[in-house]
Amino acid sequence: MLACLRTISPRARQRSLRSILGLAVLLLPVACAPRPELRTTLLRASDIETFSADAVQQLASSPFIASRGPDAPRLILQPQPMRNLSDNRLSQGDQWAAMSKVLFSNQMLALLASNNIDLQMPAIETTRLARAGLTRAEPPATVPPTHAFTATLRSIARAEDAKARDPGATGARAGGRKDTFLVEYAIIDLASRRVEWTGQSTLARIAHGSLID
Amino acid sequence: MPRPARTHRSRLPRRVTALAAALIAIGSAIGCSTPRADPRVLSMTQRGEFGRARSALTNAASRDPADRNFMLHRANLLSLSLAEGLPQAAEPIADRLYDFLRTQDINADTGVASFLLGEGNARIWKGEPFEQAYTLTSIAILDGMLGDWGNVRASASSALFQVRDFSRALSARADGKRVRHANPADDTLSAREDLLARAPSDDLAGTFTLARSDFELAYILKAVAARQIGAPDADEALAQLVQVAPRLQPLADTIRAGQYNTILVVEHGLAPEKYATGPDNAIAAFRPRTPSSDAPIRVRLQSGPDLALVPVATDLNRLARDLRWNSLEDLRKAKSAIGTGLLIGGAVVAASSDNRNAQLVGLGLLLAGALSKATAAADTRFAELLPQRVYVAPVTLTSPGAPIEIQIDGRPETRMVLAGLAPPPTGDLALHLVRIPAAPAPWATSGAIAYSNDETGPTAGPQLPWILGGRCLRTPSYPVLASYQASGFLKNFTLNDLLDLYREEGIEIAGLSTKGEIGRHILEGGSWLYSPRAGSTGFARLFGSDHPAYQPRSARVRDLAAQCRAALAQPPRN
Repeated sequence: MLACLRTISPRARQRSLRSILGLAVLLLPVACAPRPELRTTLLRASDIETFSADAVQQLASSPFIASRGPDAPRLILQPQPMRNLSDNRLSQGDQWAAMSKVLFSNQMLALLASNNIDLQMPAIETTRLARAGLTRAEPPATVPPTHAFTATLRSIARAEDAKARDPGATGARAGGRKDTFLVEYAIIDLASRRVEWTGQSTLARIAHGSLID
Repeated sequence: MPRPARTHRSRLPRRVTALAAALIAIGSAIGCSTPRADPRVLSMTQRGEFGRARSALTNAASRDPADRNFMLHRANLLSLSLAEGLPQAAEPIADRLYDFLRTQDINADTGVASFLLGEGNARIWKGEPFEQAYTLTSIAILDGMLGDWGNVRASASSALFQVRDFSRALSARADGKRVRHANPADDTLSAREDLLARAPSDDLAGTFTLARSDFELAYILKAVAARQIGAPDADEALAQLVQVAPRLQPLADTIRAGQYNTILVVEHGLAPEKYATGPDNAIAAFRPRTPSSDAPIRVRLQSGPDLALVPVATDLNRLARDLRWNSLEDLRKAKSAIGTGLLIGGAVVAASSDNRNAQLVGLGLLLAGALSKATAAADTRFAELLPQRVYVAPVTLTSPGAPIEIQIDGRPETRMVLAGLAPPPTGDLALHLVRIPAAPAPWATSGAIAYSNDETGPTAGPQLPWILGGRCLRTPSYPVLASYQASGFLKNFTLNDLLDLYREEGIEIAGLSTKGEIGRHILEGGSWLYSPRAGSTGFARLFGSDHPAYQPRSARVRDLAAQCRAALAQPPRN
C-alpha cells in the first residue's frame, strides 16, 4: 500500500489526503458527541449521605428529642435494615449504611447519650460472625430494646420527556427515566407500636438513553 | 526521479488483488473473533458440576472492568454461583451486574469503533433484552435465597422493562402479504430480515411501539415478593401474569392464596445459542440447544404425596425467537450493503480503467468495501450458561429434612431428590434454586447427606474434620470444635489451632478467606471449604455421595490424620 502511495502523482496524493481529511471531518461530530451526564437513576453513596444528613438534622430538632433529657427514662434503640419498597435494588451494605450513618455520626451519638438513649445492634450480624468462627455466639441481650429505628425507601419511576426541555433531542436521547425517591425514617415504641418520630427526605434522579443498550 | 507510468499500470491490478485479499482475511479474522466459554465449562455445567465450572470460568474470566466481556463473564459466574448454592458469594457480582444493567446507553460511545472494527470487537457486552431480563431475575432469585424480599421485588420490577413490539410494523409493511413459515424460528428470521431490510436508514425508531413485557418469571417473583413485604402491587403483578400467560392462572391463584412457605425455582437445560446468518453473517439469530417442551414439573415428598405440579414458567427459546426480545440493530445490515456496493464499484473502476488515478480510486473503494463487509458480521456473544426453561413451584414444607423429589413429567432422567430442606420459621418464606443436570448422576437421586455441613449440621457418628479422616466439612467454630472434642479428638486444640490446620493445608474457608472468588471444593480436589445451600444442586453433588479420602499435604496434618485414623479404628469403650 505504501509502495503504491509513493508512486502516485503529487496531485493524486493531494486528492487522497483531502479525501481522508474530509472523512475525518465527517466522523468528528460522531466521535466528539457530548456524553449524556447521567445514565442511571440508581441511588449513589452520596444520596445515602444526603438522606442520613437530613434525618440527623430532623431528629436533632424534633420534639421527641426536645422532650427528653439526661434524666429521662432509659430508652434502648435498635436499628433495623432499611426496608426497600422502591423499584431499585439496594445492596445489603447500603441498607445498613442508611441506618448507621444516621445513628453513628458523632453528633448523633452525643445527642443520644445526652438524652439517655442507648443503641443496641440486632444479633443478626454477630450470629453470622459466630458461625464463621470469628466470635462466640453472643448471649441474648439482657435488656430488650424499647424502640426500633426503621427506614423505608419508596420510589416512583416516570418516563422523562426530554423533548419538552430540548426540542432537538432525538433517538435514544429523547427518551429518559426519572426516579423520585422518598425515605422515611421512624422511631417506633415497641410496646405501644406508637410512632414517636418520623423524618423524611426526597430526591429525584433523571437518566437518558436506551436501557437495552 | 519518477518511474515510468507503464510500470504502475502493470503492477496495480496485482497489488489491488493482493491487498484486497489480505484485507478481507484480516477483516474476517476481526469479524470472527467472538469469545466463547471453554467447552469444558459447558460440559461441566451440563453434568451439574457447577463448582468446577465456576472455578474454570473464574480463572479464565477477565479481571479488568474495562474489558468488553467483563460483564458477560460476571453473568455466567452468577448463573453458576446460584446453581452451586452460593448466593452470598455471588452477592458482589450481583451488585455490580445490577448497576451495569440499569445503566442506560452503555454503548453510546462505541458507534465509530463498531463500524470500523465490528460490533463484537467494539461494543461492551450487555446482552439481548431477554438475556438482560433473565439476568435481572437471577439477581432477584439471589435476593430471595438471602431472604431480602424488598430487593426481590425491585430486581423483578427492573426485569419488566418495556419491550419493542414490531408486529404493527411488520403487518403494515407486508400489506397482508406476509408469508407464514411452518417453522416459527424460520418465521422469526424471515421477519427479522424483512424488518432490517425495510427499516429507515438511521435506526428502527418509528417501526415499533412500546409494549408491556410478557416475561412471566419476573411477574411471578414480583408478586411473591410484594405479597411477602405487604406491598400493594402483588395483585396487579398476578393480573398481568395471567394476562400474558393464561396457562399460569392456577399458579397465580396459589400465590394469591398464600398457602405456601417455600418457593422452589427449578432451572433446566441450556439457553439458545446465538449465531450469525444472512448476507455477510450480518443478522444475529438464536437456535435452541435444549428443545422446548410444555411438560410440567412434579414436586412431591419422597414416597409421599404430590406437593405441586406446575407448568413451565418461562421458556427462553420462545423469548429468543420473539422479535420483541431482540435488539435488532440495523448497523450491520447497512454495512454489508455498503460494502457490497463499494466492492462492486471498486472492482469495476479498477478493472475497466487504464488511468492510474482511477485505478487507485477503485483500489480504495475495493478495500473500503472489503473492510466494511468483513466487519459487518453480527456480534454473537451471548450468556451461554442461562437455562432453557424455568419452573416456579410454591410448596408447603412441614417436616424438617424430609427429602423432596422433583421431576419433569415424562422425563425420568430429570429426577432429583433434594435433601436437607427445612421449613422456614413461621411467617417467613424460603426460596431455593435447583438446576437439574442434563445427564443423570447417582448423587442427584441419592437423597443422602453423607457429610456434616453448615447447612444441616452434624451427621450421625463421631465428629472429625474430613482433612483428618473424618466426615465433617463444617466451618471451624467453637461449637464445631466442641463436637470434635466430645467425640474424643483434638482435645488440646483451641479454635485457632484448628484454623491453623486448614491454613497449613492451603485450604481457604469461605466467609473467612479474603482471597475473593470461591474456588473448587476440597471434596473435588480444590482448595476451598464451603457449604452450598441445602436443596441446591451443589449441595446434592457435594454431600449426596461419598468422595475419595483426603490426601494431606503437610506433615502435621498427615501425622494427626494417622493418629485420628488409629483412634477411629479402636473399638468404642463401654
